[in-house]
Amino acid sequence: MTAAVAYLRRDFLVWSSYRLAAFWQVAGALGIAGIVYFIGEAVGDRANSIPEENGSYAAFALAGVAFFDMLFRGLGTLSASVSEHQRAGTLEPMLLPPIREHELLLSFCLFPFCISMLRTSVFLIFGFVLLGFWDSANGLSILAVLVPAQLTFLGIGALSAASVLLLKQGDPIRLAYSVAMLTLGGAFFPVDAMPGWLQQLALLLPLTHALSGIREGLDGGSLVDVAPQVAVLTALAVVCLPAGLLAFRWAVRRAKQEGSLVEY
Amino acid sequence: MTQFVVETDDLVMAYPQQRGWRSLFKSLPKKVVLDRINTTINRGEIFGVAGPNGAGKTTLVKILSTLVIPFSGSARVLGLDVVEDSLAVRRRIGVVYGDERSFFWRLSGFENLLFYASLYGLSGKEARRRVSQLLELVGLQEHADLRMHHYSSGMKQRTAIARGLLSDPELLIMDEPTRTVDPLAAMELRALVKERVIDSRRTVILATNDMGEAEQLCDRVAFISHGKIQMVGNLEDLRGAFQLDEIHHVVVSGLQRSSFGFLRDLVSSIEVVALDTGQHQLELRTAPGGPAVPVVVRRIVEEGGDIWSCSRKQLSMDEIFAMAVERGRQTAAEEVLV
Ligand SMILES: Nc1ncnc2c1ncn2[C@@H]1O[C@H](COP(=O)(O)OP(=O)(O)O)[C@@H](O)[C@H]1O
Ligand SMILES: [Mg+2]
Repeated sequence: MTAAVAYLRRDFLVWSSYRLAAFWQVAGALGIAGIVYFIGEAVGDRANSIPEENGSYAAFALAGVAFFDMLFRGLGTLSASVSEHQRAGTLEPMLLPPIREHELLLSFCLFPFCISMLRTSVFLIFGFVLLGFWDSANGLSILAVLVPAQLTFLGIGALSAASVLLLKQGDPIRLAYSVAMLTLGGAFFPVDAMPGWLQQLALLLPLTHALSGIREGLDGGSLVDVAPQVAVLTALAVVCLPAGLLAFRWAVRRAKQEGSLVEY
Repeated sequence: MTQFVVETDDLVMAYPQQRGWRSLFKSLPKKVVLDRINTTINRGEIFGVAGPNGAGKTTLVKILSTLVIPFSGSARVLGLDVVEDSLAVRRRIGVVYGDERSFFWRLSGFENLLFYASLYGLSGKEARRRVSQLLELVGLQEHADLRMHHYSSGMKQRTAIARGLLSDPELLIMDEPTRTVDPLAAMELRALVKERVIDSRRTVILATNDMGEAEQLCDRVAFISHGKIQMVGNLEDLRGAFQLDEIHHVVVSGLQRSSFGFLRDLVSSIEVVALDTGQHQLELRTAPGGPAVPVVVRRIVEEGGDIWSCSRKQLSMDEIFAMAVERGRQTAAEEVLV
C-alpha cells in the first residue's frame, strides 16, 4: 500500500508540473459533454427506443460516455503503463524495489483512476446541474454496480498488461475488447436497438451489465432493482481479477526468463 | 547460513534468439551467454566483474538482482535464492545502473529519491532524513530541489548512487556506473565510491570494462569473456597468472652495446636497445623473487657503466585484460546454443 501511495504522489507531482494539466482534463470532458448534448438536441424526439431517462438521448448518451470513460480507463490503463515503461526502458527499475506484482498493478492504475473520476464527475455535474438530468438518482445503487464493474475491468486490464509484457507489440486483448465495447456495450445507443443475435452477444460483455445497472441507478432504481447486474458483475470480478493477477505474475516471470523486460 | 554474500552454482543464462507469440508454444533455440559460472563473493569485499562489451557482465548482475531468471543452475544472494526468494533479495540489495533512465526528470532529485524511499518501505520523517543524508553524502545537497532535467549526467549518476543506498543495503551492485559520464566526472564518481560508498560492512559488486576503474576500486576481479569466468583473483594473482618472469628496465651509459654479454648468466633473457641519448636500455627477464637485480646492478657498475634508472615493469590491467580475452577466444566454442 505504501508503494501505491508513493506512485500516487509521484504521478500527481509529475502531472501537476504541467501547468494547465487539470484545465485540459476538465475542458476536454466538457467539450465531449457539449457535443453529446447537441447531438441529443438534434436527435430530439426521434430517439423513441430510449425508454429511460425521460426519453432524452442526451441524458442517455451522457451517462454512457461518463461511465464508459471511467470503465474503459480501468481497462486500458494497466497495459498503457506497462507498454510506456517498456518503451522508456524503465520496466526493470520499477520491478527492482521490493514490491509484489499486484501492488505494482495497483500503483500503476491509482492515479489514472483518480483522473478518470475527475472526468466522470465533470460529465455528471454537467448533466445534473446544467441540464437537470437524473434528479432522482440513487447513488448507492450506482456504487454497488460500479465497484464490481471496475474490478472486472481491472482484471481484464491486468490480462491485457500481461499480453503486452509477453508480446510487446500492441495489445490484442484491449483492442478487441474496446471495439466490442464501443459497438455492443450500449454506451452510445441502446442494446435494444440492435438485432436479436447481437443483443445476445452484448450480454457477454461486462459493460452491457454495468451500464444498464448504472442507468437504472441514475433513474432512481433501488439496490433490489440493480441486484441482477450486481450479481453478474460480482461473478465476473471474482473470475477476472484473480485471473488477471495470475496472468500478470506469470508474464513477469516469463519475461525475466527470456530477458525481455528490456527492448533488445 | 553461509558466509558468502554471493554464491553461484553452475549458473547458465541463455537468451532466446527470437521472441514473440511463437515462443509461447514451442521452445526456440537459445544462445548461451553465461556458461556454468561458479563463483563466491565474501562479505565486505569489493568485487569487480570485468570483461569486454557483450561478455555477459550485465546479465550476471541482473540475475543477482532478480531481474533475469537463469536458464539453469542457481545463485544465492545473502543466503537467499534469487528466483525463489526474489522479494527478500530485492529488499536487501541496492542497484546502480550505468544508463540512468528511471528518474523522473520533471521532479527534483529530492522528490525522486523520496519516491524510491517509499518503495523501500521508508516513510515520513525517516524517509526525508535518509534522503537528505544521502544527497549530502553524494554532494548534491545544494541541488536537492532542482528538477532533474537540469542535472548533468554526473549528477544523475550521483543521484543513482544515492538511490542504490536508500535501504542501506548489505550488497550494492553497480553496473558500469561511469559509462555515460565524461572522464572528469568519472574520476569524481570513482573517488565518491571509494571514499564514501565503500565501507567495511558493505559488499560491492562493480561490473566494468574500464580496467583502471577495476584496479582502483576492487579487491578482487573476475574476468568474464565468452560466457566464462576466465580468471578471478586480486591484482597480484591476475598478474601472476600471465606474467611468469619479472621484467626490469635498466638505462645504462658508458658501455658498448656488444659488451653486455657478462650479464647473460645472471638473467633468463636480456634485450638491449640503443636510445637516442647514446644510452642503452636493457630489458631483463628474471625469475620472480630472485636476487638477480642487485647482482646485475653491481656488475654493471664494476664494468664501468653508469646506471641512470632501474625500474620494474608490470603488466597493466589493460594488458591482462587483453590476454584474458585472448585466452577466452582460444578456448571458446563456436557459438553455444541450447
Ligand atoms: N535481453 C537480452 N536478450 C537477448 N540477448 C541479450 C539480452 N541481454 C544481453 N543479450 C546478449 O547477451 C550477451 C551479453 O550481454 P550483456 O550481459 O549485456 O554483456 P555486457 O554487460 O558484458 O556488455 C550479448 O551478446 C548480448 O547481445
Ligand atoms: Mg553491460
